[in-house]
Amino acid sequence: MRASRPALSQFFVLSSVLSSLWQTMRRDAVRYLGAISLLSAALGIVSKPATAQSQSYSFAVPPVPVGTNQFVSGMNDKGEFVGGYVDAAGNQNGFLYSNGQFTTIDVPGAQYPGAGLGTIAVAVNDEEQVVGKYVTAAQGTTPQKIHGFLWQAGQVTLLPDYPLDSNSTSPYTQPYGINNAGEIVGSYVGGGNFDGGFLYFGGVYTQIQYPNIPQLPPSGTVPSSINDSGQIVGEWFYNPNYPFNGGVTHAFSLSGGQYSTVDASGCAGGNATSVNNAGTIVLNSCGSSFLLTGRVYKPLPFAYPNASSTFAAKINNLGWILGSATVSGQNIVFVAMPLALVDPVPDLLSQSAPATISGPSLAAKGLSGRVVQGIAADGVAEVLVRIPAINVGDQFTITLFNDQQTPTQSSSTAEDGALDNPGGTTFTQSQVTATAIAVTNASGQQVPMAFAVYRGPLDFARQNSDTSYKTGTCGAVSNTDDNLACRSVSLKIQNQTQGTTGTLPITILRPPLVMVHGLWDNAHAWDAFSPLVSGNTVDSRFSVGRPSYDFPVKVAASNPSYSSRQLKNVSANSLGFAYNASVVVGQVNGWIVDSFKTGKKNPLGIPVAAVQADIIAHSMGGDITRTIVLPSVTPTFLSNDTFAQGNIHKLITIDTPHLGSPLAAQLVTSQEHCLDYWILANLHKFVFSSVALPGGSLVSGAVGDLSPSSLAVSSISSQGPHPLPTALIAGVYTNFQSLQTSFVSNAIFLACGYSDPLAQAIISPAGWQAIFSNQPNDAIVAQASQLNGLDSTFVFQGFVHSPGTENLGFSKPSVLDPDSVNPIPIVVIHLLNTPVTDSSFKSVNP
Amino acid sequence: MPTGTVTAINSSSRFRLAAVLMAAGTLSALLTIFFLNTTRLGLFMGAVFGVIIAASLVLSGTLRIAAALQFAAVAAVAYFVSFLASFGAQLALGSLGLLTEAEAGTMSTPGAASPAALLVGGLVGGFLIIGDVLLLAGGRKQATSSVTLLWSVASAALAFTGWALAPSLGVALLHLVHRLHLEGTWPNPQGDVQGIGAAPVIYSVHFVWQIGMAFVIGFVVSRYTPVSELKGLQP
Repeated sequence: MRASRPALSQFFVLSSVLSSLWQTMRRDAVRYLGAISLLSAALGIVSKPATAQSQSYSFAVPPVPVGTNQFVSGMNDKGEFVGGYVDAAGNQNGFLYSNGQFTTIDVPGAQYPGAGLGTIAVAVNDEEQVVGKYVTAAQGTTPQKIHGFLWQAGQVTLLPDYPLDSNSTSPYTQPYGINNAGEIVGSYVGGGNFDGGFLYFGGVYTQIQYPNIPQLPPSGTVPSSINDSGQIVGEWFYNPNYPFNGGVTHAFSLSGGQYSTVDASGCAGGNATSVNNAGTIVLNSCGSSFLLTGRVYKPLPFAYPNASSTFAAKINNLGWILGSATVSGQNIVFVAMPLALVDPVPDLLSQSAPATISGPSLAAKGLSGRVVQGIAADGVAEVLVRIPAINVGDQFTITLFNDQQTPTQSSSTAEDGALDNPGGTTFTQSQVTATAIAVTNASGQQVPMAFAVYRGPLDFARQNSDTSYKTGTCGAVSNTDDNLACRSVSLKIQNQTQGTTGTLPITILRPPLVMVHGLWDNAHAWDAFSPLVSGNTVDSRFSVGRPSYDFPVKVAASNPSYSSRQLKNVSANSLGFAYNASVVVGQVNGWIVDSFKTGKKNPLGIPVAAVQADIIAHSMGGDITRTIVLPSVTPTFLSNDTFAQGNIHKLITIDTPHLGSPLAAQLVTSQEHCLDYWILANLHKFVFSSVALPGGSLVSGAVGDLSPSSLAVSSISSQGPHPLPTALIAGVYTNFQSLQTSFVSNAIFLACGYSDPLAQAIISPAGWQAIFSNQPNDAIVAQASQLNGLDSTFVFQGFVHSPGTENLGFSKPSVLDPDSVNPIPIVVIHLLNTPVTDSSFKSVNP
Repeated sequence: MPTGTVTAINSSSRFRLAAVLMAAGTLSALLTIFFLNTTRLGLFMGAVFGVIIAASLVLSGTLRIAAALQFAAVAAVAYFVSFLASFGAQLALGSLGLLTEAEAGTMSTPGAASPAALLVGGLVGGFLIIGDVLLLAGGRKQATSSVTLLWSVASAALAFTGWALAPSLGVALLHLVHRLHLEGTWPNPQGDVQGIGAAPVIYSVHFVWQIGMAFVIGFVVSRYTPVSELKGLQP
């Protein structure tokens, strides 16, 4: 037996060795890491985008019993630790720490004075089975030997010494790891300075031997950990590469019967010390710790605060990492526990009012929910802050910090959001205290966990008193908020018992943006609305979704009636507010999920908690959006999944007929038969008061709904369940003379002017304006209707309703044209950067 | 029967006349595109072609001023009538369910011309213009012959060719117009650049049809005007 061989389970020793290696290899570290990066690129291993955040951790010092020479060597998923210590009598004992209690583990007859002798607990599984080693003294001709043991619930089972042959056993049989099935891995010392590995299960030893190791003693294979899939990791070595000959060991993984060396690329060697059920291996190589999953090597995702070096030794299935660090020359053992932000929708929400994250249910469901990295600035979305703890009852102080150059504790809920405890609804605090409770995990085991809740700010862009914007940082970009795609706040989480801290950054994004088109239109309506949208390209600050309700609809009959051949061309964009509201609300929710919750389509590509969207609507799109909030149309609009606030943050309407349009009222009259039937319908634009769908259900028509006296218009004008803050933008057309020389208007006049009043008016500037009682209008909608009868500063002279309207003989520009000729896109972006509480936004549903 | 409006032509310069008129057609096409984006000539848009071609015929000694004015007026009318014919054809196609979504148009994107509708418009416009040219050059007999119909088909083919070249020629013209800062916003720059909007079709059809028809007019004037009558009318 080589007593000086590094004991894997005692990572005090391990870290000492690694620290030594670190000292010698530090100069080469950059080169090694560079080589790793190059190889990763060569292998096509994709790194996260620069904006992607790494995992955040809180730190704690694992508990050890009173005594001396204490160390921790293993942990399980329940926050239980094992290790060793020397008691007051000078005896070396093992221990199990569970739920605040220490249990001493001693193998009878193994009590010997002095550290390192006696009993040491090495590893523990979730069944609280502990494996370790104990020492028996030399007796007569029998030398001192090291043996393995299994402890469970106070009962010790001695493992048989590894059999070297039929007559002898190994003098050194030491378990290093145990999985939840009770499979034990470890090493033994054989003859000829040879170390062998073993798997012990059901009373049977199976040798673990890395293949083709040169027979240059000392040599061997030392497994250190086994996961529930049976994957084993460890080290192999041979002289002259044996560490104490100035060489290194090599890390290996054994999975599915296949051995592989997993040293970090570019490194001379390595040592795999732990593997969890996700297959993540803790690997020490090149004097640094790595986490290896599949073929992807990642540096240790944290550094212990103020430490000159940080090493990892063990990892459990919760991602906790047991490690050591050097702080001011002192070696510190720590456990790093991953902090998590969790979107509580819908798993963790209360089922009844008030809509909150249910505190009582966290004991059962606290580990469910979707992990996110950020939150949308809608003032509604909440994230659960999940803080792993070692003990039930551990207390944490969670403090919200702003993102200013020297971050300070937040003093503005409006700018930074706020904290509360689960079940809370006030969200006015920037600091809360959380106490760890026992939370049941997927395996039915209880783990200590503390919780707090963070709600994002009401608006993304923060304004100074002079209406200029504050500065934030998004990734590596610092700019004023109006120019950013994201900004951030952070939570400092302090373990009140130990004083250790962790920091959890929270990325704040703009709410998803949804642009809703109008009557007889589709999502391409926005194609030229640059700089917000330019074809398939969107402003990189925003997550722009463009719903479309132009899909074909089967119509059995209609009023006014059309031929069955014409009805084959009906699209949903000819149907009414309610029909399309149910379509659009689904698409809005779909966009929130696509862009934010999955993280696929937001500017940063990270999963984010979001509840509400900002909506820009053109023409009838605004009416449809207002219809969404009606309980009769969307009974679930104020569901708990939206914290009873609905999924609309703010609405910006452009040329929306909030009060209807007299043009629509005229179109649905029988006087317009020629125009409706022979011209518009043949261009797939239908003028319906109502239609019957094949199932027999009656649906109102879009043009019918747009009539000022329609039920649809009066419905959205009545008091609603949601204030729906809305900015109203109006265009006013002025160049009516253009009608006189238009080919289309004259063609329409020639075709239908004999009977249709609108066809007669379309070549007469005075006639067309008379439709709107000579009030300002955009050729389709009166200004007063566009402004919902309210005042607005956003009225633009000289703009027609839409580019398609130009086809009738009205001249450009239109309200949907790009910013080179149209100020409205810039105004819309300004409004997106304007607080929803600003007077620019009116409550159209007071 | 000669009308007395044709003044002179030399058989050896027939193709020279066609070439000159092609150059005039090119100028006319470019000016039309220019006016499309800078003015609203509207009902008088066809007059651009009519005036330039008529002027060319006058300058080449082919038409007298009075006849040229008549040609310009007929060309302007022909443009509007051919538009009406295309418009009607487009509606008829719509009633038969034969229009694509892009051709039907939306509130934000004017409908693109259907190639079938352009064939009809080209046929009608060509018939009027070629008929008028033959009437002026060759007399009533020529104007009412099958020759007019034949060249009307050529006119329709030119319109169709213009439509077919929209994704290449039309987009190239769009870029030219853009470079000259003439396009404003009409009607849908993004879709146009992708070759799916209405502007490339309009530009391409104007360009191909006007150049092609200018050549046809030159050819028809020289081909179907009796040389003896021409000679007899020489001053």
